[in-house]
Amino acid sequence: MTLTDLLKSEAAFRAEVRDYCERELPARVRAKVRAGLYLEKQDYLDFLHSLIPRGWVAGHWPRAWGGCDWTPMQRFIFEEESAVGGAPWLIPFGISYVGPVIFTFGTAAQKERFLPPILASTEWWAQGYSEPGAGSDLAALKTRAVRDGDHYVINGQKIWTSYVQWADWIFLLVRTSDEGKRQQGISFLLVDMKSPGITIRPIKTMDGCHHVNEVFFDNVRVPLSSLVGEEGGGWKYAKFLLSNERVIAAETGKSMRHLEHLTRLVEAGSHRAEDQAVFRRRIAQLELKLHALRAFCLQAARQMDPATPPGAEASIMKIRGSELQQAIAEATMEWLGPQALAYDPAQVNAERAQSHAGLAETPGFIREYLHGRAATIYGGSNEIQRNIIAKAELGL
Amino acid sequence: MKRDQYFDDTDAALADAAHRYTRERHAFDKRQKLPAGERRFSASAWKEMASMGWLGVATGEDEGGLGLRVSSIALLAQAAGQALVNEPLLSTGFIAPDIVMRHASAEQRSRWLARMNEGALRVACVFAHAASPVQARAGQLHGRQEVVLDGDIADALLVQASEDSQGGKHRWYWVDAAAPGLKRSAYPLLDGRGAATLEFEGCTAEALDAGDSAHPALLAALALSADAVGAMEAAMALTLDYIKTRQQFGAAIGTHQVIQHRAVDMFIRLNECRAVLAQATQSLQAQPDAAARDVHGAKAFIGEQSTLMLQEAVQLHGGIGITDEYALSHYLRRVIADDQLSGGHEQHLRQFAAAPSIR
Repeated sequence: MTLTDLLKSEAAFRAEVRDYCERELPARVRAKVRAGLYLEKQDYLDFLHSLIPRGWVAGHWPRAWGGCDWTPMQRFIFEEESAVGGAPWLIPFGISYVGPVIFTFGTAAQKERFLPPILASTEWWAQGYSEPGAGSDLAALKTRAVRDGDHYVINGQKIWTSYVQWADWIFLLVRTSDEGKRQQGISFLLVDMKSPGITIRPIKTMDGCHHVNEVFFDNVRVPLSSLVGEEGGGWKYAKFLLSNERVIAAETGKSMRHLEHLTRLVEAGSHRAEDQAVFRRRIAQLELKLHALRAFCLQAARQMDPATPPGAEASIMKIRGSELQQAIAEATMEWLGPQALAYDPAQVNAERAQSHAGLAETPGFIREYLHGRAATIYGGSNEIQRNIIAKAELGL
Repeated sequence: MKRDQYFDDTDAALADAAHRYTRERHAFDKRQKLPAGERRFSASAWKEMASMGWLGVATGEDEGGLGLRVSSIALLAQAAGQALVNEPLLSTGFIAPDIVMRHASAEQRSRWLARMNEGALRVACVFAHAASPVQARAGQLHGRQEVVLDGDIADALLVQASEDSQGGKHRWYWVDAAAPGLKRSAYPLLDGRGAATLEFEGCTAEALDAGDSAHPALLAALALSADAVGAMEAAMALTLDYIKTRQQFGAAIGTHQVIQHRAVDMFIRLNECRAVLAQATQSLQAQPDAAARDVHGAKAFIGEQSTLMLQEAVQLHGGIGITDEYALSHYLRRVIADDQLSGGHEQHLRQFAAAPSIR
C-alpha cells in the first residue's frame, strides 16, 4: 500500500468511529462523560452494548475469537476517536487483559467458558495484582494459593482493585511457591467473586468517588481448573498482558477532549482579557505537547509488529500521556480560580451536571483533576517506567 | 512494516552514503584539526557532497536534479546535524533550489540550477522579516538583514523583498554577491557555521516571477528541525557512552538512578522529536493540508526540546561537556542556532496554534 492509500484508509476508519459516536453511543452516557461525572456500572454496560452491533467490543481480538483483527493503528484510532466523541474508558480488565491471556494460554474449556461472556459484556472482570507490600515491586506479592486435593485454597489481600465492587470474576496473581526466583513462584488464577471467603472494603479516593478497593481472601477454595497455563507461569502471563496495552497507554483522545474543554472555557472568558492572553499561550504549549505525543503514537502504531515484544514505546506513551493529562487538568484548575474550590462530591456522583459555583460542568473538571493525580502512579508508576526504559533501551 | 514509511530506495541509498561519508571523511576529530577557514567551508568536502547528489534533492529532474524529495532533504539534514557539517547544504542544496524551481523562469532556471547542483555557485536565502522588510523599488533593493546563514560565503543571494511600503506583496530577487549597492559584513556563528549582515542600498537585483509560495519557508523550517534531531542523536550516543564509562565513587555514574532517569528523559525528548519530524516530513511530502501545522509544530517542538536536551547532556558530562575540544558543546551550539535560524520556537508555536488542525 502506498503512503497516500494508507493515510486514506486510516482516515476512513476514523470517520467510521466518529459516525458510531454520533449515532450509536448512548447520549446519556456521552453527556456524563463530557461533564466529567462518575460513571456507574450501567453506564459502562450501555456503552459496551452499543458496540456489539459493529463487533467493536474487542476489535483488537483475532477473528477466530470474535474480534475484528484490528491493526495496532486501528486500535489506536478507535481508542482516540471514541474518547474524543465522549465514549467512556473501555474498561480493559476483561477485554484487553484477561481475554487475550485466556485465548493465548488458556485451556479449551477456559476459552469456551470465559470468552463469550466477555464479548457479550455479561460478565465483569477485575484485576487482582497489587498488595499492601507489593506495589511497584509486584513480585513481592504474598497472597498465597495452596493445593488441597482438587482445589487451591487462597489466603491474602489485594489492594487498589478497580471496580471489583461490580465484578463477577477476578484474575489473581498468587504465590504458589517460595522456591527459586520470586517471579517463578507466581501463578495466574481465575476466581469467581461469589466464592465464600471473599470480602471487599471500598477505598474512597480524594474525588469522593468509589473506584478502588481492598479485597480480602480468607480460605477461598477454587478448583484446580482455575489455573491459567502452568503453575509458576503467572509472571510471564502478567507481562504478556501488559504488552497488550502498548498503543492505548497515552490516552490521547481524553487529553484532546479535555483540552477542547479548556479552550472553550478560556475563549468564553472575554471579561478576563489578561488571563486570556496568558492561557492562550499555555493552551498552545499543551496543544504542541499533545501534537508530539500523537505523532509518537501514530508513528509507533504504524511501525508496530504485534508479534514482537514491546520496546520502550509503551513506557514513553504512559509517561508522556499521564504527564499531559495532569498538565491539562492543572491548567483547567488554575483557570477556574476560586470556583475550583467549590466541590461537592454529590454533584459528580449524579446523573446530571450541576454546580454550586460557575458552570454546571465545573465539579466535573475538578473531579478530573483530583482523580487524574492517579495517572502517574497506576499501571506502573512513571518512575518504574523510567527504570524500564533505562534498563531495556539504554542498557543502564 | 518498515520504519518511516515515506522513505524509498533512493532515500535508503542516500542515507547509507551519507552515514558512510560523514563517518569516514567528516569525523569530528579530523575536522577539528583543519585550519579555521576550512572548518567553516571545505572546498573538497563540498565537491564530494555535490558529486553524491546531495545538492540535487530539491531540483527538478528536467534541470538535472532528482525532483523535490522532502524525505531526502530531511535525512540529509539529519546526517548533517549529526556530523556537524558546516558546508551550505541547507541554503544552496535545499532551499535556494526550491525557491528557484517555484519562482524562476525557464531561462533563469537554466542559468542558475546546473551550477548550483555541481557546487559551483553558493546561494544564501534571505527570507522577509516582518519587522525589517527589504523593500524593492524600481528593480533595486533597499533595507538591511542581520544574521543571514551562509551569507558569509555566498556567491549570490535570493532575497524575498516586499513590493509595497507596508511590507506585504513579496517577490523573490536574485542578487549577485558582488553587486554594487550591497554591503556585506561576514562573521562566524557560535556553532562554527557562518553568516553575514547584508545592507542593500539601492542594490541591483534580478526579479523572479511573482507569486509567494509558503513552501520554501516550510522546507527551511523542516530542514533545520531535522538538523537539530541529528545533533540530538549524536548527543544521546555521546552521553550514554559517557555515563556508562565515567567512574566516580568507585562506580560508573550511570549506575545511579538519578542519572538514569535524566538520561531517560533525554531519550524521551529525542524520540518525541523524531516522531514530530517524521510526521512533518510525511505531511510536507504527501498531505499538503496538514503541512503548515505539522512543520511549524515540528520547528516549535524540536527547537525547544533540543536545547533542553543538550543542556542536560552538558550537565551529565560535567566539565568535559563545556570544552571546545569535545564534540558535545558543538552540538549544544548547533541546536541553539537551528532553533533561532528561520524563527525561534515561540514564533513557530504561534504559527502552529494559528494553523488549521486536520485529524
